[in-house]
Amino acid sequence: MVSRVNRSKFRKSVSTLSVATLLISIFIGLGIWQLQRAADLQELQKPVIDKPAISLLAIAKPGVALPDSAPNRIVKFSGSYVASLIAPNQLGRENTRESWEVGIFELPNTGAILVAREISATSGPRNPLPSEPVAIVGRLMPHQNEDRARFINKINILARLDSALIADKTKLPIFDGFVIVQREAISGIESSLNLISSEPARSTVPGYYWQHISYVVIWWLMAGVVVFLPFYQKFKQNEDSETDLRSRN
Amino acid sequence: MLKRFRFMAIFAGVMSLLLWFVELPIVYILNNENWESKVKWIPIMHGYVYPFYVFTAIHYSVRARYDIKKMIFFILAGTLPVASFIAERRALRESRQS
Repeated sequence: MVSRVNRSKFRKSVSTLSVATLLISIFIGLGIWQLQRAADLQELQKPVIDKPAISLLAIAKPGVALPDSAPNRIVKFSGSYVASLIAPNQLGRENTRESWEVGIFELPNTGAILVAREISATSGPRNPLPSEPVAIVGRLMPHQNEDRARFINKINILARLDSALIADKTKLPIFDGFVIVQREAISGIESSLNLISSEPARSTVPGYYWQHISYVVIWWLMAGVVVFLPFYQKFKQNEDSETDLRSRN
Repeated sequence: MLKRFRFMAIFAGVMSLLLWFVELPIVYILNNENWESKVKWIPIMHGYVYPFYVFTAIHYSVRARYDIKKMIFFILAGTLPVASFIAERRALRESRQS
């Protein structure tokens, strides 16, 4: 009888301990996650300092996803445009929506890449793409994941700047991402373009630094509460049994 | 003790209401950056009010000799907009009865 009671007590203690350990590790983990988000936010607020321009081929390979170090780098390359497209509803300066002239650009015998050349003219004819060899300097951006333009079923419209959408338009392997032109030179003469803002792409973490820190406090406090509660339960049980004894006497 | 808990319960409840029905709709539904900057104090303040509410709820529950289930209810009541008001009313009612 006694051993059965002890065994059930032991089982109860073990299950309480297991649940408490699980909860504590979850709460501490959530606190660390919030701490990481706060650190990420702080990192994102730092200004991006551009490194000197680097050859596109030195940092990216066609047909391969961009390495982590590639997005936002200033790259240079030369070749020629082979097709002209429009990317509507892109986010421009001061959060305005604008259409971009985008070219499919081929690097001879190497690969093709999407090049966002300039802001589309709101009226009048579109500037034709140069047919001569072109040298480009621009910011390499990661491909867009979400469509900016929906329900547009025209051949020369790009719903998003993503090389996957131009696979049938070139025979060369395609580079991941796209380039926003900062300088374009045709036979050594710089083109006059209505340049697109080439602010560095930033991933976003919702919320504010001190908000995430407060959540760290909350999660770790919850871990502390889980440590405290079994002791409180024990204290309460002892107190209740003492009160019970006193009332019987 | 009861006064302190009631104050914190109402304060945490108001902050939760502001968070759920003002800040979150502005950020995730209206998507207005100008308004967003004006309400950014709400989640931060809510984040710091809640730990104080938890301390007050634990302190009050220990003093009132509440069992563990009621203590957990009082602690978690600060996370939902209306639950902390319910906790505040319950605490007041029970203190009057005792």
